[in-house]
Amino acid sequence: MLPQNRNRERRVRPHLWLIAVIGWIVPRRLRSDWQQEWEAELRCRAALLADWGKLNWRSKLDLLRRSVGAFWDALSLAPRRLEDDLFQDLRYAARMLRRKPIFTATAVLTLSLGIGANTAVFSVINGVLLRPLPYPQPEQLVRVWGINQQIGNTRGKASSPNLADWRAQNTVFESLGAYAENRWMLTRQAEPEKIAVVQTTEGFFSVLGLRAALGRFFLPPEYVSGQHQVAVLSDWFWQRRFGADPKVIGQSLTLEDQSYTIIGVLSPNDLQFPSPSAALWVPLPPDPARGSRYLDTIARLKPSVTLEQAQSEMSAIAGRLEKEHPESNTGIGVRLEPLQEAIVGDSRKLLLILLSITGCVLLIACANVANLLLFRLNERQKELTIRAAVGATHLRIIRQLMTESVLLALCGGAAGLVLARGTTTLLLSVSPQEIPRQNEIGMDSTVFAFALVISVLPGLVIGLLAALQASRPALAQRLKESGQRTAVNHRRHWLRHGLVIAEVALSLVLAIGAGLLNKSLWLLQEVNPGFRSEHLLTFNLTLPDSRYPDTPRTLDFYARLTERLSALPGVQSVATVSMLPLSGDRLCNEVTIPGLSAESPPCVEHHSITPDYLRTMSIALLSGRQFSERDNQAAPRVAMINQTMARLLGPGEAIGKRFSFRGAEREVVGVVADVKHFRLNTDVRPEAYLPLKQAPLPFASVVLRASSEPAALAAAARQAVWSVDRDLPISNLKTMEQVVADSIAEPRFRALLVNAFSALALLLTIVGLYGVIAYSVNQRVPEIGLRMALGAQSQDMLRLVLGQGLKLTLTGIAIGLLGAWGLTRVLSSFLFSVSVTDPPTFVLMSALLIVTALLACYLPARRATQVDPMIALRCE
Amino acid sequence: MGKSYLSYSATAILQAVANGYQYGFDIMDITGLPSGTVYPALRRLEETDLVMSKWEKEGIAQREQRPARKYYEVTPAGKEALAEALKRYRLLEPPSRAVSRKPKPSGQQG
Repeated sequence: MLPQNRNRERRVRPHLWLIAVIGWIVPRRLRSDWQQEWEAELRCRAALLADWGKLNWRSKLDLLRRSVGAFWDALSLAPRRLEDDLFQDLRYAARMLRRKPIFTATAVLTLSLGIGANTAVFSVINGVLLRPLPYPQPEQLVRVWGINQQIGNTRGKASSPNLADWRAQNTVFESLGAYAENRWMLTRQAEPEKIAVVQTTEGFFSVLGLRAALGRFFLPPEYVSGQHQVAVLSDWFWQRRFGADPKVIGQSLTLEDQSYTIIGVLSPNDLQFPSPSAALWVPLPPDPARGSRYLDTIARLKPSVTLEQAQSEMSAIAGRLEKEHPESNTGIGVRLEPLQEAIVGDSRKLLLILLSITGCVLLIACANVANLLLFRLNERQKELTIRAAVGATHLRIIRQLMTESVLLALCGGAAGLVLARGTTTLLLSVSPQEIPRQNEIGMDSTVFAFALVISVLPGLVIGLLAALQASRPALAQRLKESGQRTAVNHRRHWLRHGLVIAEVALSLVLAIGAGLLNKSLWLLQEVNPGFRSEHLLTFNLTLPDSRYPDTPRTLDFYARLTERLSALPGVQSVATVSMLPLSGDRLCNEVTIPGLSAESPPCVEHHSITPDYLRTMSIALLSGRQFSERDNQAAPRVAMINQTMARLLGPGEAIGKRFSFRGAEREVVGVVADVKHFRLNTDVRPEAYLPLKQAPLPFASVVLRASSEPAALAAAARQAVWSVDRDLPISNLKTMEQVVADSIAEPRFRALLVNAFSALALLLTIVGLYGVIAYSVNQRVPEIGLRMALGAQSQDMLRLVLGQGLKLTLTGIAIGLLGAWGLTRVLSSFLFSVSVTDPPTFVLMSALLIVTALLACYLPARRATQVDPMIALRCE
Repeated sequence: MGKSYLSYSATAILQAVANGYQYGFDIMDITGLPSGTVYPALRRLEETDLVMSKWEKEGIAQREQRPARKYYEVTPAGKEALAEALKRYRLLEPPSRAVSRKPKPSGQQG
């Protein structure tokens, strides 16, 4: 039967039409047999019954039903086709990759760098941002912030009576609890040390749904002040201090000179809350002062309650409390935030920026590999052309090439996973506290899935790019061309150049981002803190109430300590200060200044210092006098103030002016230079220095100025402290330079990360650029030979090749500058006194890229000048 | 080959082929199994060499103005496997009674 005839009948008869359609599922090599078998059966059956036109509907339906069954038949054959072709493709791809080990290694390494960097950052993101908190029903957990509208604090704490009212009046929480973090002194067991102790209110453990591995948690009577001193240990502290002794329950610990009975150990699977360093939990008795806000509150929503409902009820309760207790609660509100978001906080932005950066690195790596594949394709033109000539369809060739590139990408992905493991460990080891939930970061199935996706996807895209280039029809022409090296495929040229231009643009964006962060860090390091940090050793002390209950004993301790330390060889001067500059702590109290409205009394940071403090820290005294030993409790109250506070006191000479502080009036006797006390990048606040003897505090930082290397004094200083009080723990023993460096650890960490990834991007780009230029020189050898034969000088050839590279680079830079202009603003919150479009950085980074690009082009350019015209022309 | 486990429907199909119902549609009629079962089963039987397929002669097809049909025959291995399987499925009707109902197998072979 003629084919047209058959087609016509098929149109009329739906069952035959169905077979033709379903046939597409069947493997190509089986298809015609399959179709024939079904068609013959159906037509034979139709003929047997009657002519189509005369068939009754029941027979028609029967034929249709049978032809639908063909679908299952076809489906049962379908996997065979996938198996066959895929297997063939894979085997072929593996052979091709093995045959060119250098090409394969380069491509795999390039991809693994990109995939590894992304996977590492993603595994951090997964642990910190994506994975739910390791508590039961974590989505119900919320952080209850006390907000203070007066000073614009949106992440404040709560007071104990407010907490009790919240608990009594709300209907939206299943449970509500609070905690306060402290560093307490642990004594009488081994060396004295400071450990992180979490004071908890009722409800704390049930909000989180924590479990005790041993013993129990606190009972309601144990929350009542002074009744019981009990403690629950964390797993790590139990292991470290008690060697995981199961008989630990009932033993006692001495904390802040009080004995605590151990009643429980937390399950090791539970996340240490609020921080991994938490060593133990103790009950916190209620505190009647409504104005002292020091509680961090957490709560668990009832299952049916949304965050919005809870927020509106809590706002209403806060409104009521504001009316009932105007003296302490004016402007005090409540803000709810999902606990996970509260924990993650600001690190979200940094992590997402990092992922974007590594994403760019991966794009650059992919562009490089795509270019590599395109070069390879040129070499393989003959092979592909022959395959096409002997019957391979375009689709088949595309699939072959895509199989190769996906295989390549998967190898890169596997190597990338190994790299990612190392990178993650490295990342976390250099990170300051900035990244929360660090102990939850690791490789899991989500990370593997991510790595798989970012391996396969680029593999497919690269393969498709290459394949579309390779499978362009025009076989005959290609066969003719394949022997000629002068023939240039312009379209392919453009793709290659486009890829390099994109790489340059992306790396410029990253380089500018890195440049901005570095400049910001550099400016931060250049900030004059107001003191000289060289040759200073510092450490912190806290005097326990039990042994130093009154002022005479406290002052006596400081006096004896200063005496002992001053006597150490190599110590030039010794002083103590209540809060060390740049240590991250600050103490702030309201002062009343005559003539200034009492409505909003300014909060002034105050430091209790010994007389030698200014000399030891080398802080400049601008006018007036320093403190002396005579400024004691019997003498009139005095203070020194910084310049910022002097301005607050009004115009004119500040010496002799007065202000009230904690009920006592003080006279200003000296003005000192501003010191960056809190952070290098924040403005100086008004500060007052008070003589220690007139404002004793039970804690202090000791500062020693050494005549030489300060770290060498550490052991002697420690001994000196213990010679005065054997049970006193020493914390944060550091040189002042270390303290300064630690205060900018986070900006340094950010700059370090962005530097590392941008450097990687730049390296990949330069390699890519080199590859394209070298390849193009290689291709143009005959042309260059011809030019040289016709009298061109090697200088001209150099200019020709460098010019080509420069053209690509400049185009990329133009695009990159535009991109950076738009994109660097995401960094704005990380920058310190640098604009996001800082022109010098933009210019410098562009110049850097141009210079490195020219270097990358110089090598192939030199090769071009060394072409021997005779040899080049003979190649033709 | 004979060791391969034959399902109930595969045994029924193999038996139908052995009894001279050589075309797919005839096998459907005699076994009452749908086409979506019969054909994949035939493919498996053929793959495991229990049946073999041939095309009918072009002449017949041309006369009837349709493509040539494919028919199936039981191989010696298939006969063994069938005998073995029938021991397991005693409930299968003996061939003699099963034949009598439906239209005779159409078309000629070879």
